[in-house]
Amino acid sequence: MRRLTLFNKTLFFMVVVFGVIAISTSFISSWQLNTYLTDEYISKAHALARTMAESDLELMLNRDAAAIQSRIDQYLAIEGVSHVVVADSKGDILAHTFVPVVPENIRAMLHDMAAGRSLDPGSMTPSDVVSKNGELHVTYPILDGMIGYVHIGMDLGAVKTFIRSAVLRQQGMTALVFFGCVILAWAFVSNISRPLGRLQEYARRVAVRDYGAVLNIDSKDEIGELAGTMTAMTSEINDLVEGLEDRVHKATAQLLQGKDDLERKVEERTSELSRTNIQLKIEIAERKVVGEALKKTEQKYRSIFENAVEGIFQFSQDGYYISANPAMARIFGFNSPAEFMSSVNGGDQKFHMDEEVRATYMATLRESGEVKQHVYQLRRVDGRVIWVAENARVVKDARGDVLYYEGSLEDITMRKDAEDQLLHQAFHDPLTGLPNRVLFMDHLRMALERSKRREGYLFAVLYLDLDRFKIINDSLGHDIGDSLLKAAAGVLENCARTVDTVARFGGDEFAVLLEEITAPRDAIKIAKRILEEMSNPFNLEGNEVFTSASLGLVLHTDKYTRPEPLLRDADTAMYRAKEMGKARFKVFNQRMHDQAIQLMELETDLRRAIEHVELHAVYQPIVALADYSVSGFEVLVRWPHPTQGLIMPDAFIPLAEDTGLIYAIDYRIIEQSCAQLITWREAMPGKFFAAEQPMTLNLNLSGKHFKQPHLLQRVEAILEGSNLPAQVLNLEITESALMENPATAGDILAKLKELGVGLSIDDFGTGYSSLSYLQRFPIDVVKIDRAFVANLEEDRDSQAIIRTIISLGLSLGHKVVAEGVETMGQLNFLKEAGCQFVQGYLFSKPVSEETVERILHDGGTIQPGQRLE
Amino acid sequence: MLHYRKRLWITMTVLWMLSLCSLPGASAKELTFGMSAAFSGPTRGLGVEYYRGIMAYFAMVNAQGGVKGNTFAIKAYDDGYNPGPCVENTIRLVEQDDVFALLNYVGTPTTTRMLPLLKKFEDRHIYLLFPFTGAEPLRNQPYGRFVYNLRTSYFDETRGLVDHLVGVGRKRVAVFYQADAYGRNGWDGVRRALAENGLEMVGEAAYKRGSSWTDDYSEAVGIIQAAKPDAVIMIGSYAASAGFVRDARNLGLDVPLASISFSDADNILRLLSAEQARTGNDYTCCLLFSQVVPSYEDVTLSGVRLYRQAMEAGPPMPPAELMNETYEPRKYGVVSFEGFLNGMVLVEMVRRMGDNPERNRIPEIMSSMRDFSLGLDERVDFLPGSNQGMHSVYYTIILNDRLVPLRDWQRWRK
Repeated sequence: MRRLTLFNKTLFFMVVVFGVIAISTSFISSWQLNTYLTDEYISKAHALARTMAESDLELMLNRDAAAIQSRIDQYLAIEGVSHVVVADSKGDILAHTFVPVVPENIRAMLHDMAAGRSLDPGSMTPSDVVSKNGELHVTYPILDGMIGYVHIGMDLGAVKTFIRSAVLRQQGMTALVFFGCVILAWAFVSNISRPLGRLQEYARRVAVRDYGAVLNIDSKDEIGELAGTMTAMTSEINDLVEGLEDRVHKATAQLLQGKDDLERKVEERTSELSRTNIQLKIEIAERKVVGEALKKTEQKYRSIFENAVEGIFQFSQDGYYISANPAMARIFGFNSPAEFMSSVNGGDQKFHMDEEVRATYMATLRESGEVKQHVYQLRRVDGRVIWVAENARVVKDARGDVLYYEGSLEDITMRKDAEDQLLHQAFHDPLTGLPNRVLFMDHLRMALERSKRREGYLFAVLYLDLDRFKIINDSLGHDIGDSLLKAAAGVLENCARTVDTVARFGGDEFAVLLEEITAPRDAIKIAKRILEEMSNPFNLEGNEVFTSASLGLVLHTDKYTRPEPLLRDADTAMYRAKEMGKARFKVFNQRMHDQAIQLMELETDLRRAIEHVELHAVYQPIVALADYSVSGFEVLVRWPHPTQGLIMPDAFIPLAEDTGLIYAIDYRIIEQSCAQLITWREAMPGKFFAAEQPMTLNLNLSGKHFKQPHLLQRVEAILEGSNLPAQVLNLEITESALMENPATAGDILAKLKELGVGLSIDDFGTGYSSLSYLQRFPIDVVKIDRAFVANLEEDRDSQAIIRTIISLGLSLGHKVVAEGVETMGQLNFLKEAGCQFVQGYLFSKPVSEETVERILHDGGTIQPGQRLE
Repeated sequence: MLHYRKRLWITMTVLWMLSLCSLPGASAKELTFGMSAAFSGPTRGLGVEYYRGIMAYFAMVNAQGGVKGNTFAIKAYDDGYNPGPCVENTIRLVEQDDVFALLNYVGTPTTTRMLPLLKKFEDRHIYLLFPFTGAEPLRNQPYGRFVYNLRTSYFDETRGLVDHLVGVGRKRVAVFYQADAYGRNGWDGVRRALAENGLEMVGEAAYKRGSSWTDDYSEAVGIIQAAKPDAVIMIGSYAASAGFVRDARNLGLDVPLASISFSDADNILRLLSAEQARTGNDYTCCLLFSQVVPSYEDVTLSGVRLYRQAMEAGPPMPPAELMNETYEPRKYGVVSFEGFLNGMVLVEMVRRMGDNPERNRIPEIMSSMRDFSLGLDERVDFLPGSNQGMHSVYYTIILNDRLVPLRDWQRWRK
C-alpha cells in the first residue's frame, strides 16, 4: 500500500491537469462550433428567404394563398427549418406553416415590423432575430417590404445536438489519452518504489534487533549506495547493544529481590482495606434507597402544590408568607409566587379591602387554630376587586409550639356574581328592573314590623295602574306598550324618594311603598305629583302617547298586621278611582271598606242564588204601533233576595260580569226561556210563537260573551236541543259592549247571524259608536235608549236624535224599537217620527209567564195606557 | 318506377346505337388516363370513391363498345395524399405509361405541387382534367391553362357558406383547417368572403395533414372555443373534420360546423354515425356541408338516375395492388357521383374529337363545351378564358342519418 502513495500523488496531478484541459477545450470548441453553425444557419435561412422572396413575386402579388402555401410547405423538409410565414406589407399573414396557430410572439413581431416599415421605408434589410426558445428567426422583405415579408424560423435544436456530439467525441479522445498516461506513470513509479520498499523492510528489521538480515540491492545508482552504507552501520550497532545488555541483567536480579518483599506487605494491607470498603458500600446503598423514596414523596406533593387550582400558602405567626403556590400568585394577579411573596411581605400594597375583617380573621385563627370558608373581598395587584373564600389552620410541632399557618384560597367571584344575579332576578321585574311583588311584599312586611316597634313611624301604600294601557298595547303594539311601561316606571322612580320602594306587579300595575313619611299629606303630595307627571305625553319611539294613571292610596296603615289585606285595600281604592272616572286618586276609607264587604257578601249570595235557581225570568211585551199587537217579549232577569227583597239586574249584573257568574246566568236564562217557548208553542199551535211570522223572545247578552269562545256552541246547542226555529230568538247586545272590541264582536255577530238568530243593538245612542257600525254589524233591530225617550218631551236634542236614529234604522232596513215609553205624548211623537215598535210601562211592565199567557189568550194585543203589571 | 326504367332503357339504347354508328372507320383502341390519388391512409375514401365513380361511367360506355371504338381505362397510382409521391406518379404516368391525359387527381397539396410538371410537359400536351379540388392555383395562371376543372372553386364554396352564415346572423366565424395548400386556400377563401362582408375571422386552428379520425383534436377545439365563434368552417379531410366534430361536441362547442366538398360528407356521416351508435351522444346535429354536385338522392334529375343505375351495377374497385388497406365501398356518395359526372364530360370530350382523339386538341374541344347537359339543373359551360365548367354550390345537412338538401337557412339563425 505504501508504495502506491507516490503513484496516487502523480495520479491526482494528472486528473487535475487533464480535467482543466478537457473543460477548457469543450468550452472553446462548443463556442466555436456554435458561432460557426449559427452563422451557417443564418445564411441558409437568408438563402431560402431570398429564393422565396425573389422567385415567387407573382404569387405574392396575386396573394394566391394556396400557391404560396404549396411553396412554403416544401421548405419544411429542409433540415433545421421550423416554420415559414409569408405576410403582406401590413403584417397580415398570407400563409404559414404553424399548427395549430401562429404563436403570439411571432404575430406581435410581424406587426411591429410592419409598423416599423411604414415609418422608414428605405431602411429594410434582411434581419435576423434569435428568439428566446432556441429558434432563429430570419425576416426577408419582398421588394423592400412593399409586397410583404418572408419569415423563416430555424430550429437551433439541431445545432445544439451537433455541438453536444462533437464535444462528446472530443471528451472521449481526452479520456483515452488520460488512461494511457496513467498506465505509463504506474510503470515508472513502480520501478523506483520496489528497491525503496526493500530498504524500508531492512531498516524495519534492524529496528527490532534483527541484525542478521541480508540486503541485496546491487544497483549502481543512488539507491545502491544507500544500501551499502546501511549494512556497515548495522554491524556497529550490533556490538554496542550486546555490551549493554549484560550489565542490565545483573542490576535487574538485585531489584527483583527487593520487589518481592515489598509486594507481600502491600498484599496484607490491601485485604484489610477491601473489607472496610465493602462495609461502606453497603451503607451507601441503603442511604440511596431511603433518599430516593423521600424524593419521590416530595415530588408527588410538590406537584399537587404547584398545579393546584386553589391558592395554597403558609404564613408565619406574624403574618409573613413563607410559601405560596403559583395559583395563589395568580389569584392575587402576580406572575410567580416569588413576586407575590415579596409584594405581600413588603407591605407596600394593601390587598385586603377591609383591614378589620382581616384582623378578626387572624384573631380567630390564633384562638381556635382554624378558619373555614372565610369569604371576603380582595384587591388584586391590578386593582380588580375579587371575592375569595379562604380556609386556614395552624400547624404545630411535636411539642405543641406553633410553627406556622397553612391554608388555601379560592377565587369565588364568578360564583358570587351568579348568586347575586339570581337573587336579583328572583326579586325584580325583568322589563323595568323594578322590584317585583315578592320583594315589595317583603319590604311591606318589614315596614309593618318597623311600625309596630317604633312609635310614630308612618308609611303609606300607593297602588296604581295605567288607564287605557290595553288599548295602547293593542293598537300601537307590544314594543310601544313595553316602552310605555318602562317610561311609567321611570316616572314613578322619579317621583318617589330613595327610601321608597317602587314595584311592578305585572301588567300595567305598580305599587309604591312610601316609608318614613311625617304625615299622610306627604303621601298625597307624592300621589298628586305622580298623576300630574303621568298625564304628560310620553314620546315613545317617535310616537306621542297619552295615558294617565288611577291611584289607590292606603294612608292609615297602623291597623293592619299583614301585608296582603293592606295591598288589597289599596287595590280597592284604585278600582274606585277608576270607577270615578280615571286619572285621579282615591284614599281608602271606611266606607269603601264597608262597600267592599257588602259586595263580597252580595257575590256569595249571588253564587248561592244561581246554585239554587233563585233567579227567574220576566217578560216585557214589545208592541207593534200599527195595530198594537204584541210582536215579542224582552226577557229580563229578576233576583228575589231572601233578605233584601227583589234585586234588579242593574244591581247585580255588573258584579256578575266582574266575577264571571254572568255566563251561568245568561245561559240559564236562555235555557229557561227556550223551555218556556216550547211550552207556549205547543199550547197555541199555529199562533203567536208558532205562527208563520213568529213572535220573538229578546234575550240580553252580556258583552263579556265576546271574550268567551263557547258562546256560539252554547247557543247552537240550545237551539238544537230545543228544536226551535232560530228566528224566534233575538239576542240583544248593548252598543257599548259592541264598541269595546268591534272587530271580535263583528266576527261573533256574523257567526250568530249564520245560525239564523236575530240580533238587536240595545241602548243605541249611548255607546259613542260611529254610525257606520250600524251598517257593518249584521243586526236586525235597533233599540233606542230609554234615556232619549224619557227626555223627548222637554229636550229638542233628544227629539232630533230619535228622529235621526229612526230614519237611519229604517233606511238601513232595520226594525226600530223605542224603549221606556211611559206617556201618550212620547208615543205620539214616536208614531209621528215613524217608529214601528215600542216597549214600556205605557203598555206593560215586565210580567210573569202567567200574564204572558193571559195576554196571548186575550188576542195578543195591548192598548196604549193599558199599563199591565 | 316503371317510367324511370323505361327512360333509362331509351337512353341506354340511344347510347348503344351511337356507338354502333361510330364503329365503321374507327380504329379500336383503349384510351388510358392517368390518375394519382390517395388509395391508402386516412383520405383513401376519396381516391377509391372518385375512381369508382368515373369507372362506373366508363364501364357503361365500354359495355357499348366505347366511343368510335375507343374504350376508356384508367392507370391509377397511390400518392397517399402526399405531394412527393404525387410528383413521382405524374412523371411515371407521362413518361412511362404515356397516358392520354391526367385525370381525377385528388387533393390540393398534391396537385398544386405537380402543376409545374405540366409546364415542363407543355410540348407533350399533357393536361390535368377534373381534379378533385377547388383550389385557386388550378384556376389561375401561370399553370391554370393546363388544367380543366368541372367542379366549382373552394372560393365559391367558402363564399357561399360565409354569405349564408352571415345572412342568418352568424357573424363570428372561425376556421379549422389543414396546414397545407388546401387548408390555406379554404382559409383564404373564408377570409376574403368575410372581408367582403366587412368582417374578420374570429379564430383559427390548423392541424397536420395526415391526421386521422382517431387523433385527438381537443387542442384545436379549445383554441376555437376560446374565440367564441357563431359558426366554424372546417377545411379539412373527412377524417380530421369528423374527428374535430366529435371533439367539439364532446367539449361542448355546439355551434354549427360547416365543411366543404373535399371533406366528403358521406364519409363524415359514416364515421360520426358509428361514433354516435357507440357512445350515444348526438354528433350529427348542426352540421352543414357545401357540395359541388347536387344530392344523389334527388332522383328527379336524370343525371342522378343514370348515376344510380350505373352504381347499382357495382363499378369495379381500384386494382388490388392499390388496395392494401380495407375499405368498405359505399353504394352511393357525393364523391363517386362527382367522379361519374367527370366521366360524362370526359367521354363527351373524346366524342367531340371524332375518329382521332389527340391530346393537343384538348383545349380546343374543351372550349367548345358550352351549355352541355349532364342531366342536372346546371349545365356544363366552359366560358371563354375560364377553365371551370360548373359553378353551383349545394348545401346538405344530416337528417335521420341521411344527407339531405338544406331547404331553409333560417333554422340556422342565431
